[in-house]
Amino acid sequence: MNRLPYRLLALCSCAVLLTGCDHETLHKQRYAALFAIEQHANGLTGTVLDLGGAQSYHAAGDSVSDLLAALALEAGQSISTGHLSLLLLHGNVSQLLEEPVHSGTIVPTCAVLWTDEPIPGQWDAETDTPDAMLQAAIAQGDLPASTADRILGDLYGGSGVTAVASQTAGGLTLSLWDSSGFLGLLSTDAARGLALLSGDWDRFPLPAALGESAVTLTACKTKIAVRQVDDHIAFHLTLSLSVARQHGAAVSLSDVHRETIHAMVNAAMQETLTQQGGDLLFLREAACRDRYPDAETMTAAEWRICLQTATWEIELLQHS
Amino acid sequence: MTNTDRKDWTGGQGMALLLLCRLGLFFSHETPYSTAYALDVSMTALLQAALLLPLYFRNAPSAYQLPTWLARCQRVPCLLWCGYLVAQLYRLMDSLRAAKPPLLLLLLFGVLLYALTLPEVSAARAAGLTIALAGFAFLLLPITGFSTAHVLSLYTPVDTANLWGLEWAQSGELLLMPLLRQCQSPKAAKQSFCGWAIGKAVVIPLTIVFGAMQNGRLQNWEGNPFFLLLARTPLSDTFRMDGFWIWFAVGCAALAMVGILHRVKSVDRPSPFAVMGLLIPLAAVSGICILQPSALPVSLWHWLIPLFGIGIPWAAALYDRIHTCHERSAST
Repeated sequence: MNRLPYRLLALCSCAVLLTGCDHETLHKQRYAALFAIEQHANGLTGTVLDLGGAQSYHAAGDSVSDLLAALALEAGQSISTGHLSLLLLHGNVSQLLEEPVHSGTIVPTCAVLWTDEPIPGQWDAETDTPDAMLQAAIAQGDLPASTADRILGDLYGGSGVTAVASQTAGGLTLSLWDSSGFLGLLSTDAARGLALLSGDWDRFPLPAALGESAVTLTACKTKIAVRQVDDHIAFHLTLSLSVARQHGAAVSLSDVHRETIHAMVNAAMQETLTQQGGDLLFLREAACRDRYPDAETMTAAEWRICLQTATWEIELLQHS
Repeated sequence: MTNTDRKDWTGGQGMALLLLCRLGLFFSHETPYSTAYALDVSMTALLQAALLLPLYFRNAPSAYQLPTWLARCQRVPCLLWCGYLVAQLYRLMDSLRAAKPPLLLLLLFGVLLYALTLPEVSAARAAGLTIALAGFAFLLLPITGFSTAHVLSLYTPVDTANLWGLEWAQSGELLLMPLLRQCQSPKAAKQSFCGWAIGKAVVIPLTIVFGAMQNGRLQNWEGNPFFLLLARTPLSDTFRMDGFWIWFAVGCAALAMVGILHRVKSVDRPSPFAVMGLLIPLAAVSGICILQPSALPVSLWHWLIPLFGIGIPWAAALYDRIHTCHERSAST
């Protein structure tokens, strides 16, 4: 007896089961590109923009999972967040982010943007979404990447302080948060300094200064050394910079450019370390590596206090 | 004595099955990705290898055989372990938001039913092929993720108190080892043992170290951090490898179960009801583990695995030694 048709039938059934998608299932899904969550005193409201940018839906709920269920009811289709490119938050970042990441509702590598403005109930597909602006800002070194896993990693590890990309009336910048709430906004220089140190950018333009032409950095490798000076912790940051060639010729960093970089990194360290005790650059890991006393055993709160008295030196090297 | 005349599994295939057992749980369980855990895995593997080494390098072939009653006893923890693995696989599918995890389980049991009706050598060949494929895929990982790895993440301080014993509780392949040896020549058993020890003490810890460098400070989260690692490696945007790894994880667990059940089945004489006699209790155990996750707690494996994975083979070897000495003294 020829058993091949039966085997093929079994194989096809398996394939259908494995994909989990029949015709009906595919058309019952709506794929979200942007998910905005707004926190109110009596719960949450949320807006979802679908992947094509054609439609947006608005609903309310007590938790993020409730919100998604309400949005699905509003859309008449279940909402898939597997392809989400941006999570837009208005409210306490740490409270809003924890549930969707830990329940697996959003991908941990999803970009996160906080806004101080109330989120509109409808999105206009014709206007630029914040996602495109955020990606452009990261690519040109205005902001470091701000993803859910980094934010939660900094909140639970490090000193319990994290930086989140933020949209304010003044444009895109960085805000600092701890588990209790908002700590403050960083200056443009500090945000650029952190972006430079994080190395998430594609090209890092340095504007033209008096008598100097503009140059573009193509790479920056940061080395952090930690030591104890008197009764406080001291960091030595060595930045190895690569500069883009102009008209085929090598360009060296001028003193003005060096001062600009120095000022940006200094602002980043001043506003994160000294003012808030934030560890956004794996400083604790560097301290553990360099065997700084008690770095491994300190609690997050102790490490935060320790960082507030820290000093630092910045050394710039240029790759030939 | 059990099935002594069949020497089906070669050294490579035996090693593949043992590593697949470990990898099946490695992908399904919430493994913490930290240097401390990588060291724990490596140290535990070396300790386990040191404890088992004398058993594998004895020259007396009879020492490789478990008495039938002991082999029958060994079936119980093996079946429990398979049920535990099914439950962990279900949770992985659930955390990865697979479309229909219960249907996937039905499919898994269909696969097990079919695989157990095939000759055991087909499972051995499948295990060998799968581990070869895994070798290539594991080589690709560091190449893809080299640029996004943070070396400083290796120094992230972690609470090591919870790590102690975690690897012991995940070493289910130790339960299979005595049964696997029943169908291996002494040379093949030695090769499998050495391959398993190297894979577990070197390759898996290196993967954890690489994962720690990729995942940064977020070392624990719902679902397996391996898939967070994949999401962070830049090449996965170009070549979507997530699907491959998800099915590889399922394949590891399924093949490990097929191998274990084949070995458990061969303890007794062939019977037409043998397959269902294994799958029905397996379905019951996995159902309980899925509905009641604390049914088989980690603390249970802390003594079940050393007892059945190391204690019983040692007891069998000592019994064999005493028996041989007694026979010799009687003959002289």
